[in-house]
Amino acid sequence: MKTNHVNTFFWEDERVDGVDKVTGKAKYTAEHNLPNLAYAVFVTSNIAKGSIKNLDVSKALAMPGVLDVIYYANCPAVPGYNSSAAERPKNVSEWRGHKVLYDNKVRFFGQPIALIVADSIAAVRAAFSASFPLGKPNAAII
Amino acid sequence: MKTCNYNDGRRGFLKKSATMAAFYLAPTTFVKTFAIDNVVPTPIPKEKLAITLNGKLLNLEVDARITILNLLREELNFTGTKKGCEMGQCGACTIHINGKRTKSCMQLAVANQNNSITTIEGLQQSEQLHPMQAAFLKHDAFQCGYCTSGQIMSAVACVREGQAKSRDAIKAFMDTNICRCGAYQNIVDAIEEVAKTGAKI
Repeated sequence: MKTNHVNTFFWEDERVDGVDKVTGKAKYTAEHNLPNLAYAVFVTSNIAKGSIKNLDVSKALAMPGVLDVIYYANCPAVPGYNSSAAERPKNVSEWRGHKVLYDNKVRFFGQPIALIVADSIAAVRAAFSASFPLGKPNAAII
Repeated sequence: MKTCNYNDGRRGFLKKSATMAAFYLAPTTFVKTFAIDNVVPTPIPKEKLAITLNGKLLNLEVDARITILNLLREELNFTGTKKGCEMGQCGACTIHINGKRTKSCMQLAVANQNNSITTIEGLQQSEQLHPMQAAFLKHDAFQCGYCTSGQIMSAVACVREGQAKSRDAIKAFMDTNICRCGAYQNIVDAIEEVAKTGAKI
């Protein structure tokens, strides 16, 4: 057993995660094998400001393996958060952050406006590219 | 006087910009039409695939659309190969296909029929660490360790292919792998040491 560590700055055999990391055994967040895992991709806005008039999710829902498409019309409400103009402070920074998919407003370029959920990576990618060609939402956005 | 030249220049400029505008506008329309018509076929195509993974022959039936990286990580649970950018830029997903280092996010799984694949899990032949793994550990050539699997696979290829003749040569060969923690100096140290021992790895 080693007793004297004072004179060495690196002592390789004592780096707790060292061997795990060089052998690929270390588990990172996305690497835990959970049952019934679903995969998702965001559909993002191609404009910087506006509101979504209509988002056609039927094509994505019809694709094999797709479980659901979450967007402003069916997104679960966040308790205690109100995005209606009458109740929130005028100052945007006081809204306690931006809640993704919460309403039909687009506030910045690349904002997530829908989330496609499917049972495999291939299925979710296929649903995305089939229903939103070139990554562009087919919604009428003004 | 230069008036004449100026006029020519402007006419030329207009011509050029009109051509460029046409060039940029036309392909977009073509691509869009193509993408909308390109409907994914159902039922989902499954392909038979035989690969040798770390010395073990596997007969699989895989979704024809997935990459070899997603096959390893999601289907076979070999998570030692990391997913970084999925664009072939970062090198975290580097594996050996038939002994040649390859970015696995850039390869379809079904394109590897009968190929022999080595991942970071297959590098270690016995209880002992592979010399390159030991050198990485010794030189502290990583912090978070996310790029390490890819770095080690690339490093092994570097020494095997005889590219580790000098520090500059190592740097040039290893430019396919990005390390956000900035352990580059230590990575080069580790590779240099393994190359100097001359051991067959």
